[in-house]
This record gives sequence, C-alpha cells and structure tokens, in this order.
Amino acid sequence: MAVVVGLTVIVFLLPNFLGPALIAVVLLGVAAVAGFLDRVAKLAAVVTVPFLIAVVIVQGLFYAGNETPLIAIGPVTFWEEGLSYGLLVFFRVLVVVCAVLLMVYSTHPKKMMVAFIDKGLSPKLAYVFMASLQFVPEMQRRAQAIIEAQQARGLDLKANLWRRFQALLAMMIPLLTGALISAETRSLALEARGFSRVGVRSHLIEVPDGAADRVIRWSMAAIVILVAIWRIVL
Amino acid sequence: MANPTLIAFAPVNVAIGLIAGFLALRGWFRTYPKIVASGLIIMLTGVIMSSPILILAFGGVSSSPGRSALTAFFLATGGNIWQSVFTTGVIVEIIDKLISVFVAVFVARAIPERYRPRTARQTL
Repeated sequence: MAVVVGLTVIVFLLPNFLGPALIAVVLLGVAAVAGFLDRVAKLAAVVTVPFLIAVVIVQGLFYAGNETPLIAIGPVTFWEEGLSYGLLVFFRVLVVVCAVLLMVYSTHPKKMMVAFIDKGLSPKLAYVFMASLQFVPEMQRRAQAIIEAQQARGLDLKANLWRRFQALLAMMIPLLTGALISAETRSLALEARGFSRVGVRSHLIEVPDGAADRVIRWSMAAIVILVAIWRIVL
Repeated sequence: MANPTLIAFAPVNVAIGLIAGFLALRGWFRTYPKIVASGLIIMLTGVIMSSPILILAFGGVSSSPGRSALTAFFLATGGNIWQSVFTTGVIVEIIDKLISVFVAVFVARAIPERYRPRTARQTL
C-alpha cells in the first residue's frame, strides 16, 4: 500500500510523459511475474482506453499553451503540446490504475486488515474499511435477488418513465431496509464476541513483516522525497 | 474494483455526505421546496469539489463520453478549462442530484418505523 501511495505522488511530480510510461511498463511486468497479468491488463485497458482517446482529443485540440501545430486537417488543427500533455495525463492515470489493481489482486483483504491492526489502527476503523469493500458486491447480489422477486410479483421494468421510477423505488426500499437490519444484526454479533474490548488481540492469520517489506517501504519514502527535491531544484 | 479512477473522487462523496447529514438534521428534507433547495446545495457542493479533481488529475476529461463531449464543446466555443468543466458539471449534475435526492427521500420515508434510526424524527 505504501508503494501505491508513493507511486501516485511520484507520478504527479514527474514533468515528462516518458517517466510514467516506463513505470507503467514496469508495473505490468511485475503483474506478469506474479501471475495475474491478464486480469490486470484487461481491466486496466477497459478503464483507460476510452479515457486515452478522450484526453488526447480534448487536450490535443484545446490545450491552453498550444503553439506548434502537429497535424492540420481542414479547419481543425491538432497541437503538439496538447498531445504531450494528454499523453502525460493518460500515463499518470494508467500507472495509478495499474498499481491499485495490482494491490487489490495480490492482497487478501483479511491479511490487509490484520496488517493494519498490527500497525496500530483501531480495530473499529479496520472493520469499517473491510466491510465497505465487501459492501458493494453484496449489495449487488441482494439487488439482483430483489429485482427478480419483484418481477415475480408483477413489476414491469420496460414500461414508461414514471413506472420505471416506481420500479427503482420498489427495488431500493427492500434493499435499504434489509441493509439496515443486517447492519444492526452484525453489530450485535460483534458486540457478543467482544469487539469493543480494549487490549491485545491475537489473530487467526499471521501477517509476517519481514525485512524485505520494511526495506521496500523505507526506500519508497526515500524515492518520493528524492523526486520531490529533484523537481524543486530543477 | 470496477473503476479505480473513481477513488480520486472520494473527497467529493465525503463532502456530499457531510452536507446531506447537516441539512437533514436541520429539517431541510421535510417539505418539497426545501428538498429541491437541498438538492441544489448538494449539487453545488459536488460540482465545486469535483471540478478541481477533474482538471488537475484527469485533464478535464471524465469517464463518461457524453460529459467529455460537452466539456469539449465548451472549450471549443472559447471558454478556458475551468469554466468549461464547471459549466458541464452544473448541467450534468443538476439533473442527477435532484433525482437522487428525491429517490433518497422517498425511500427513507418508506422504511417502516421500527427500523428507522433514532434521528429519523428530526429529519423526516
């Protein structure tokens, strides 16, 4: 996680677009080594390729500091500074997206939670963080089940706009009521297992914090500071 | 993790949540004119907070092609990037937030009394 944050900061400090392009390639290489290149590449491509096209077009045509025209097609001129700025923005976003996806695919959420608690984060915050990550898929499953149940009771999803608005309400009310009830049940269950007790806890899953991890974290911090200094000095 | 670029907009959602709670506890969601007013306030908050993030991190281009096209239109007709992104944001989000606020109020009113949280008497 420290690597992700560090990379984000670096990428926004680097002025030219070649830097982030290199970092993106390195990240994809790491993904290949760890064995999930196809998932990372597919998701990154789906998210960023439309963005690439849009950014390059918008910035290429309308960037404020445009001076040297690159291509001129009839009345439309495509400028060079805009293109390089668009590519810079795209590669920054690509690096951040790849780093986040790598982190998500390589870390089991429970291990991340245990690591946070070990480092001193309050267990309640760690639980909220984990619960919110699991929240979205669970809500999607429930919403799907509710839509099917309502359709079995005669809900029409293809009628006019007002009916669709009512259909949306009919789906959200059971969903939210169910979510409120399950949140209450969950908090009762956590209380019954002594969640808000203060003191040392032992975990089922041990997350070892080896020397290599510490080296990577500290070197990441050092690299960020170095890049910042380089950017200020030059 | 469907779209990691949305993580950059986390502060926007935090601000909207805070302002919505603030307005709700003061009874701004009870009568229909007040609901429209709070919808507009929430929309302004959303646009003010998301425009800098869009410009600085994403170059003014958002993930939806329609919105980017509208931004490009305003840029082409002579605005600078801050004006274009802000105007696009207002136009897109006014409809979005008004609908969301109304759906939220109707849903909250329809939850049975037993499952409402304690502050429901002040807000609804």
